[in-house]
Amino acid sequence: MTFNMFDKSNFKKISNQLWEISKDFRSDMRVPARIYASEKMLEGILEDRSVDQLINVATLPGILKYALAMPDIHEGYGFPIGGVAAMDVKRGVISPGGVGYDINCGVRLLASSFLHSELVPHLVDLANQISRDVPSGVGRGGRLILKEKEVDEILEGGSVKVVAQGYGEKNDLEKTEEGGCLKGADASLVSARAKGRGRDQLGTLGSGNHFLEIQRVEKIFLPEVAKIFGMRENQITVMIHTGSRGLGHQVATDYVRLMDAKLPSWKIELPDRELASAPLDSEEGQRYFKAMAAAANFAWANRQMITELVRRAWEKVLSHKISGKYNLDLVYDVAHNIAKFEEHEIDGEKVKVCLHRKGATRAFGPGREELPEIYRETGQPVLIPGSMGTASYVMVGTDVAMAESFGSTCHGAGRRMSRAESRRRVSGQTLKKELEAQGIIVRCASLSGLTEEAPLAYKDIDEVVEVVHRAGLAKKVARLVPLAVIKGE
Amino acid sequence: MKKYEILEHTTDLKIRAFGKTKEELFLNMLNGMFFGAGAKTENQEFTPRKIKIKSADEQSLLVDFLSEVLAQSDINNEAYLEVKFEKLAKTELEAKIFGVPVKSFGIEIKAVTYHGLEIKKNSGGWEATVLFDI
Repeated sequence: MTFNMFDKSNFKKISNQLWEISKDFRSDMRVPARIYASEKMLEGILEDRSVDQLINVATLPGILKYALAMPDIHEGYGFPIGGVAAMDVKRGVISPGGVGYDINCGVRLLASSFLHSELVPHLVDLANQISRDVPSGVGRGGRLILKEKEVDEILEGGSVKVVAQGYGEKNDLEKTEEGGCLKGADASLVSARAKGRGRDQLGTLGSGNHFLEIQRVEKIFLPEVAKIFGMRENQITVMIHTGSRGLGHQVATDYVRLMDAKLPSWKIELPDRELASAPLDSEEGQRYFKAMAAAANFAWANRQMITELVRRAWEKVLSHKISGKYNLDLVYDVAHNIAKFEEHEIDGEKVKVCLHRKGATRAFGPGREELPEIYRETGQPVLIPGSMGTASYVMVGTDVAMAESFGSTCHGAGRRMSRAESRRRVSGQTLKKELEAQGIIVRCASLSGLTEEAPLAYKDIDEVVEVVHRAGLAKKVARLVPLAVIKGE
Repeated sequence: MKKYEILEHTTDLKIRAFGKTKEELFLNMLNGMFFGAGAKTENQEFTPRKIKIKSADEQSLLVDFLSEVLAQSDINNEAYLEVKFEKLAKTELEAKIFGVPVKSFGIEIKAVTYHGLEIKKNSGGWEATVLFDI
């Protein structure tokens, strides 16, 4: 399907990796729209409505500099996936559509002390144990049922709360974006309905593109940086990709509904109802931020709980089979669906903005005080998961990202094919066989869920990463390849 | 008459539903939603649950209805394939939804969106298109 609204002639080429649509392309645009992509990728991007959606973002009140898109951009609703927008805190808006329904969907990476050669005989047992011990939580909920007061504590305390209860180590908090607890969260602004959905979902993976992977560090690009990140060639790592589950989905649903009804009173006109926004200085805008922060904290607590379940499974399997250290040290945890207040330099001045990242990862460069001391000289680790069965990357944030993209970069491969099309092209059984032929262990409850996430349904992760690497928005540190994929459904 | 159809969409689940009456339209969209989610149900008795919704406008009522059922599904781990409307006005509804326990979902529907939302009445009855975030 091709939409003829745009072609390459509508773009000004800024560099081989950067394209701009000027502000006068559409009368309601307040700033230009910029896309990071190679020329070849740009042609693919023009095939769906993602550019149209990016232009819609450029119309939002108070947007600063540019509406930005990363090379993994694809069509969403409201904002495109892979979008970044900074809003003026006085004149601007906050938009649940700029965060997404899966608030604080994100990724964390754990580094083991073992090399691939040491764990080869135990990988099947590890994959089996982890898939038994980490519930998907879809259809049946998780194993832990929280009381309402406990849900509130998680919403306001995030990872800090679950670590205090014994699910992890203090060191984990330092290596989690925002220390695993976004300030300003207010549990009283999260509906009873949302809390009801979250009660049995802590420590659950979910479905769709969420996964858990055992990986091997295939290649190191920046040895000095990798060393500081605690990584080395042929090391075994574990990657966890999930978010705030039904609780976060409900928070977004509640506030989109609330804002949609209030738009006329704020005299905000939008080209898409899913861009529903509230002025940042309105009560509703403030309430959404505090509720979103609470849902973000639930997501961090969720990934922290899963980390602990994986660590226990790891030790259970390996302690009988191999001597050594059974630790899985957190390299870092990043959010890729979130809005935050951050300070950025605009026209030579430091300005506080409300930064929306929807399918985009923070990529702070060296020196930022938000980073843990250990990563302050290098810049932060940036985790880019590939699609199922393909490589993932660890990158490092840069000064270029600070100057050009509000300290942001891509978040993954980015979908390019519908789930239905993916199912038509490859059967679950064939795909499982193909993955297994590559030596990848697959533990997935549903073969149809497997085909929907088939590698052919996604853009090439190597190409996406190459664009941001060349543009300087993040630099490649390590390439990871999957050994075992664990998916709930 | 076709009840619903799943439309092509790169990332999400887009469903067009039909109905001779508005009640049938809402029911068929609901069936489409649980079909799209790949709900595997257990063969047990239905549990009735009451819902009551008031919306800002006619289009929002369909989104709010589906969002309410989705939340109930997540909380109770049930799928709802039957509805008995006690009231279905332009912006309000009251209904009983009948839940069956779910073993698993193929896809987790995160939310019902307003994106590209359409509800129209033509000579053959009602038709609506809804995009679900998955």
